[in-house]
Amino acid sequence: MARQRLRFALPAVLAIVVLAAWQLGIHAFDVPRFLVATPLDIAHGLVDGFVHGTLLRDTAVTLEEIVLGFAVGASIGIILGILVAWSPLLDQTLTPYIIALNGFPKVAIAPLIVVLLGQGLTSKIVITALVSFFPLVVNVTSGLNSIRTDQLDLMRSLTASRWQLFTKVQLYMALPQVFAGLRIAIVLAPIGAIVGEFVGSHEGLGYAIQVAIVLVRPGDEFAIFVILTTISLSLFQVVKLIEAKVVFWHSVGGQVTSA
Amino acid sequence: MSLLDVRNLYVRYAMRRGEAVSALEDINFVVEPGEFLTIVGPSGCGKSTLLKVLGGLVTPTSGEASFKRTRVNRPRREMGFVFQSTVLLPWRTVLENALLPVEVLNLDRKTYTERAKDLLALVGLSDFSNRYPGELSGGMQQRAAIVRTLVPDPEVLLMDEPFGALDAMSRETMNVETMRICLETKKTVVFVTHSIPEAVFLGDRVMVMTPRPGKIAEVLSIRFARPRDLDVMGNSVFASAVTRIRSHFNVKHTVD
Repeated sequence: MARQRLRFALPAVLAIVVLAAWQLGIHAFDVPRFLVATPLDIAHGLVDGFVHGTLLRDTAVTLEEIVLGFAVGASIGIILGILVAWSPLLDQTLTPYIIALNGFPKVAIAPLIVVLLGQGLTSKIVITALVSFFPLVVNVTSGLNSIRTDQLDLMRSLTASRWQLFTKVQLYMALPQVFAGLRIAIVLAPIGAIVGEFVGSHEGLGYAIQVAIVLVRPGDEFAIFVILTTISLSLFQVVKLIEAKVVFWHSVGGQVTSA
Repeated sequence: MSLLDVRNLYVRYAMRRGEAVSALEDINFVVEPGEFLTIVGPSGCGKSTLLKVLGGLVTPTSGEASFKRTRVNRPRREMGFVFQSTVLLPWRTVLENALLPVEVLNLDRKTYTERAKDLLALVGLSDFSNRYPGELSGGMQQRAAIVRTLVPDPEVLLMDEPFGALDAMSRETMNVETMRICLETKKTVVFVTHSIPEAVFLGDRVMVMTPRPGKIAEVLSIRFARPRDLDVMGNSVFASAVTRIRSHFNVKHTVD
């Protein structure tokens, strides 16, 4: 019980100490207020932005871009991963390009995508999808291939078809790694959305950051950082919750014995 | 008519550097309907490979295994495998695992659900049919795996060291259980093990194999009536059979 309480108390104490030091430090050393915001400025920026400003709207816009872009990217990644795992021919054909695409800094083509698809939602979804699809290709492929020899022998001895092997064993075996991929992708997705907004947009948190910089309002700027962190953490937790529900057998008793 | 017939069977595996390793050499034997044949030998004597040939999972290099005079060249429904690792799927309950063959073979779900429940009762797992494998002990998991094999009603059970991962006491219990279940369901069994007492206790006949290359050293008939209880293990005939089998390994190889 005491240990449990410490787990929450210690980070909270650290936060209070850091915030206090930050606030006092800026006053004590006379740091120019247009460079760095104080915690109180940030709090003010948050409240003011949500109550009087456009922060609510911007958050909704960016959240939509992240979620849709992630959904599209993850879907494409999962489909590609399945295709590559299913067919050696497709594996040999596609894999060099998938690897090349991953090595390429995708953010570099963000301006091109905005020019091609406009400043609206579509271009943000594409950039976000591009940034977040790769972990899924890799994890889906290796997950589907993680089927064990004894499972293969079992299914073969039952005269199972390749499709039955896939739907009854491989898909389930892949799930833990698929979720590992989703956890990586959901953290990458906000990068895509924000970069897309930096390049060209009329709304969203990335746009709001640029406005705050131009207007020299570091309080607003840092407030958005807080919102972005909250979004990232929340989405990550959502994925983890879904994972615990779906891959339930990882928490049911021990592992099944395998010799 | 014998149920299984193995003639002039050879299995060689190609190794990386081009040379071939002989896993099985000149294997000949038959299995009669209703018989319980145990195959005993040290690791590497090819006994598991032999079982996989019988089950159509491994294609022999030459010679053949036949089932009712038909060459075995693929897995078939009449043969049921029990593996050492139970291979229960952890995302399925015990009952769902038992119904896996029903789904794969597209059998009538309703009829076979009844059958699966009866079989789970036969092995004392009725109260666990809705549990997940991870919640079961090793012995219970293996019983569930045996039920899964029995559900589509195969004629032959091919059991590959099914109790190798169990502790000695669960293992003895499972041996008695296996004998009872196989007699009640009238199965023909080929049972691979590296435990000599287990082989003698269970088998109508014991086929002794020696390794490198895997060959049949001797086939012994065990004349105790089945079902047997664990007391036969104290019998001097039992002991002399064990000693005789062990002599095959002590001369050339150690049992590992």
